[in-house]
Amino acid sequence: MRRRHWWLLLILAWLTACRGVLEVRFEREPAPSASPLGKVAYIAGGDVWVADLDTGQQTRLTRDGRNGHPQWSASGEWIAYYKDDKLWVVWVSTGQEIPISEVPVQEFAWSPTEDQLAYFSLSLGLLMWEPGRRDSKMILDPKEGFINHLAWDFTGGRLAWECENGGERHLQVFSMGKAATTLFTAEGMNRVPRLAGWSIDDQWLLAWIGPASALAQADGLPLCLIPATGGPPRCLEQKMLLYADWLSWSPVGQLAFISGGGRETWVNKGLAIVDPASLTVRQLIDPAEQAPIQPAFSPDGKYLAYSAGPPTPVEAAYAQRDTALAQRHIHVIDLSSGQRRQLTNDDHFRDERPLWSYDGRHILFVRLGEQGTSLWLMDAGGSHLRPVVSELTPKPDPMGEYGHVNWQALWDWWRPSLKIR
Amino acid sequence: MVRKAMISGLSLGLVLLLGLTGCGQSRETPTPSPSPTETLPALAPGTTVIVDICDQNPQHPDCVGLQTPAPSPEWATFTDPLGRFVFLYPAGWYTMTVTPDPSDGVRVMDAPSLQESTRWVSVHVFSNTQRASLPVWVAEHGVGWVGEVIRQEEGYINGVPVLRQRLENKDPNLGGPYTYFLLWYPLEDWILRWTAWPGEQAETLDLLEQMVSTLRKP
Repeated sequence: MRRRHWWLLLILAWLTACRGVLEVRFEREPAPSASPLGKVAYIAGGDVWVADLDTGQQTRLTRDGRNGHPQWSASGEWIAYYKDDKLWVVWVSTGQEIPISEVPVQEFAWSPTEDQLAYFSLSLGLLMWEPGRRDSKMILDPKEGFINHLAWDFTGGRLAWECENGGERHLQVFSMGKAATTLFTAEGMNRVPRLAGWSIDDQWLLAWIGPASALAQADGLPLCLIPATGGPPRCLEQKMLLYADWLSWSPVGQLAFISGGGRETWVNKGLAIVDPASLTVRQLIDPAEQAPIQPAFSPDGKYLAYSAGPPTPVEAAYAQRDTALAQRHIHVIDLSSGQRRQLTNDDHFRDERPLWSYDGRHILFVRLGEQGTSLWLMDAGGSHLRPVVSELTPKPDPMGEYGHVNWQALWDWWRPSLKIR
Repeated sequence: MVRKAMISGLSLGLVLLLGLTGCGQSRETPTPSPSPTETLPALAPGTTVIVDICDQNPQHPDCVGLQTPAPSPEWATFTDPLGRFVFLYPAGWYTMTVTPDPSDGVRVMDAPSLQESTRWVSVHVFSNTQRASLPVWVAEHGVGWVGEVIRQEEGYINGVPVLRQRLENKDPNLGGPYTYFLLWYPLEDWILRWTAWPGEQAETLDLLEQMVSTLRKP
């Protein structure tokens, strides 16, 4: 049986060799799982690769070393990515690369439910691309303004963005077949919105609102909720840094966020959850206890995984910076009891960006070590740690932006049937 | 875990043979080759460059008052000798260079000497090459004046985050009593510590805020 299985694999390898595009390798045994783990798109050597977490198969999809920011489409059939500053997609099952735009693209985002790709180019405006369509469809003329931060709602029915035109700053929402509507307009330069996304029930648009100054934004702004039907924003009191991966929605509509201002990500940061309707905040981790980042709700909403280093006294922030960052490991907090558990503790690695599998039985995370950057999978209880991707390159600067590394530039996980991506 | 046991030497050889002969192309090694990082600028964040939005868009209505200030009958212009900034101060006031270690800067006062003055505002320039946030920098380096910070609040001037403090020194043996109002302001690789005396006097504080709001790069 096993011998016959291998002959099939040999034929498959020969067929893929003929394409001259796909490169396949196996790194490990398939991980036993009740439901499929899915696939990771990642960058190695500046090329897009895919690791199938269920079979261990790794496939190279590009070959020019000029690629970054891989993002899965909803179906898991397509990956969009930057080739230099141009937007491309690759059809994963064939390895066929397709250029989407011949001019630089500033933003792109897949719909969470359909294989629809929204992207913005300064010279082309806002457009929509779908597989099988020769040309992209114009959504917004470039004369309408400069667009930042595209965000689909969770149903894929609406797309929101920040728009700047003639010094005016707006948040706008677009539904297919309708004109874009303005949901919020900044009054002057001191209450400018930076789009953070949608609430999981799609009732709220989230934005950080504050001065337009990049200096002010670097030190954090209050997060505000704007009714999707229109109305004034309601804002949290505390500041938080403007990182989308510092927000996580539970299935029942609670929002976990990393609280605390100041651009230094290892100082004065806490973990809290907020109920959007009442804006009631429950502090889960005080900055004096840990320096958490990147919260992620488990699919059942009962646990939060996060990365955290030790608390660093503010007066020793830069003196202890390297030590504090190096000691980031993965933790889980039980929301019913408040009990915390450290899942990783290897001093050779700094562990970040934990993400749950669809069935909540596994956690995928990234490790930075002396040897490089890699992706690891473990059981949700912290056992059976194993590397699933051995190399993410170009190796990111571990300092990143004051200790925040933009991991979306290097990997993205497609999880079958997962609503919250 | 690794499926190496399943890949026998024979089957591996067959894979390589088929790969080499199947399409007339050579197969690359499975290990991806590194590529120059400069091809992916977004992946190498490097040093963070934080800019004031008005530097990018100086013609915006909210930034009009932030243009390089021009002297007027009421105001004179101070230009930093190292070219780092300019600001306005009351015409007829006197300027005095402050001791340049560990900071440098200027004091403007309403009399020719410090002893005669009844009000003064100073700005000291400190190095901040890591571009730390204000609360962190101040916590790491201290306020630099003798006394105790009895109040502190964060705020903005022209959209730039600032830190305001009230400092009191009641000890005559340490030069007191006095009250200083401090305003910390980030500017590129420096932090400016503005100090107003008497710090409890409302009009001195108003003057300080006015002066800071005129601060620009030359």
